[in-house]
Amino acid sequence: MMAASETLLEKLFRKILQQGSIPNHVALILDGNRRYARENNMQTIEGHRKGKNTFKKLVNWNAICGVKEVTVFAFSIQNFNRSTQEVNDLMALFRSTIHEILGNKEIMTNGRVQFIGNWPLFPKDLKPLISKLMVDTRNNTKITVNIAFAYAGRDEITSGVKNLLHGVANKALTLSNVNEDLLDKSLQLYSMSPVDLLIRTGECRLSDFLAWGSSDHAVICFRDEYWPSFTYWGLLECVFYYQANKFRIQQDFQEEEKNYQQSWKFLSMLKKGLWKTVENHDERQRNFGVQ
Amino acid sequence: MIRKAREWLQNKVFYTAWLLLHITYQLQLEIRDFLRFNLRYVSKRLLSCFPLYSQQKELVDFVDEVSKLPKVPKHLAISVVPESQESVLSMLLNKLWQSQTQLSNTNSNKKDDDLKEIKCDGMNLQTIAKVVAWASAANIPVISLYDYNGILKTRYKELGGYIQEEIIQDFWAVKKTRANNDPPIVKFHNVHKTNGYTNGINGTKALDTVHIFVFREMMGNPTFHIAEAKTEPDLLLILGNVKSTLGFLPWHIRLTEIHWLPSLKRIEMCDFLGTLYKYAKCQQRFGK
Repeated sequence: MMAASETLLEKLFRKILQQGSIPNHVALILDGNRRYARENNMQTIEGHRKGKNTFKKLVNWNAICGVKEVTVFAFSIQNFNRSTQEVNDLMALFRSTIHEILGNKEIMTNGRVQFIGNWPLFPKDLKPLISKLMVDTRNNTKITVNIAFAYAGRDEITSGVKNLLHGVANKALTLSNVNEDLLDKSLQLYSMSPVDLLIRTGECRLSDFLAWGSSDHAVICFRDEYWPSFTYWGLLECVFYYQANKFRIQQDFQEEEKNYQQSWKFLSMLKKGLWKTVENHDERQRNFGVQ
Repeated sequence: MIRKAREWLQNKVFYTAWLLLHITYQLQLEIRDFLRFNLRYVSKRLLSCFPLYSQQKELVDFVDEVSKLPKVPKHLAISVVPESQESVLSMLLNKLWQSQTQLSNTNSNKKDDDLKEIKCDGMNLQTIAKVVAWASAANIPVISLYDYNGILKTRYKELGGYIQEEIIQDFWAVKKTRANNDPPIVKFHNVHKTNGYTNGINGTKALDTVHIFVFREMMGNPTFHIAEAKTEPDLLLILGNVKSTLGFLPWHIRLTEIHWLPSLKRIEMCDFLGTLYKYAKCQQRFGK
């Protein structure tokens, strides 16, 4: 990734944080562009442009810290209810951003970009660009960037459930196949890893973002500043926060994992014992000449 | 060789710095909470020496303040973190204590077993009942209770009794100032291993399948009813320092304001009022 400029202090703090666990998957709700524009006497679209610049730096920051997956909430289904002018301006901004990403050699060779959301709702002129971006980066593995566009958490879960229902209706699946894991994997093109850290700027709610992925053990970090004002220090603070809270949250899940592994260990020992009994019985039959 | 040694030394220094940073952070959290709680406690004790101060007056003032707020949640969700989980230091102490009890005599008597159970649950039901009573005093009609391990749901009868006592205690203090005398609907969510994911798979909006108690006014014998309330929480309060929703019904909290309060052992009415102030200030734009 492009080497972002780090000050000495930022580099030092990052190296200290990297002694602990770095979140594998960071999700961000990029909120507050319009309020930022209002407070700084700018036009709304300027606020969104500032937000776009922060987003470009964000992917670099995450790559430097060692984060493997980043998901951003760029545009929700409900955002289509905004004024026509604003929606058109935002679509134009997305178009120019995608062109910039397509022209950036480093991102195109290292990052995998996935758009998650309701595909039929994507604007027609954006679909070819989005397709090109997703297809050209599909084999990259260094960092995955999921962009939630025309997205809503409930819509995501509903479409996943519909996929499974179609599978059952077409007899490709039975009802007994349907479980959490299968639903999780049916939600997107590439299965997303569970969210470790969810950051939101400006407000204290999830706004229907990653309802499924962030439910269980994501550390949630609400920031007071608006998205365009979000800095590298802010990200490092959130990572520190994640490390401070991870131990408490993971405790319950570690207990579950331990119980699960214990059960499987017991079952495999039990089955070994049962098979041994069956094999022994078979040997005895052969020794006595009984087939 | 020198380079390797330098790298090794650098890693050690960074690791020590990392450890110190986290220990300092946890300690300052503990000390800050401890001081805040105890200073308030001391000032209350001092104030109680004066004839005009009383806990009832505190409650009446609370209800007055809440009545001035532009909005109050219609459905409040409370997620309780066990005391054992809220502080990293106490978790380490708990682990040590558990390993001690495993090493020592296994033939413990019933009293020890009860103690162990209390320590393992780590939830003070009386405090939870107090919080529910405050929410009721604030005119919040529906309250959902949740904890990841499902302890509250298994001990709902005991908790119901405590809530009843608290509401009766507060009844006459709030009766004059509250316009609506209807008791709250209290909902219990979750059993262990049946977390939000499984509820989603079962296709239930879990609100429909949860037992709900409606506390009637204490004019005669209290009656418990099973009832349904189909609203999503407006506000989710997490009692404890764990910054996660811990599996709380993901389908239902898409627009819910989420705030954290001090743990059960340190929560005060003013903390609860502070969150209601924050909720009153928040704006829902619904994407527009």
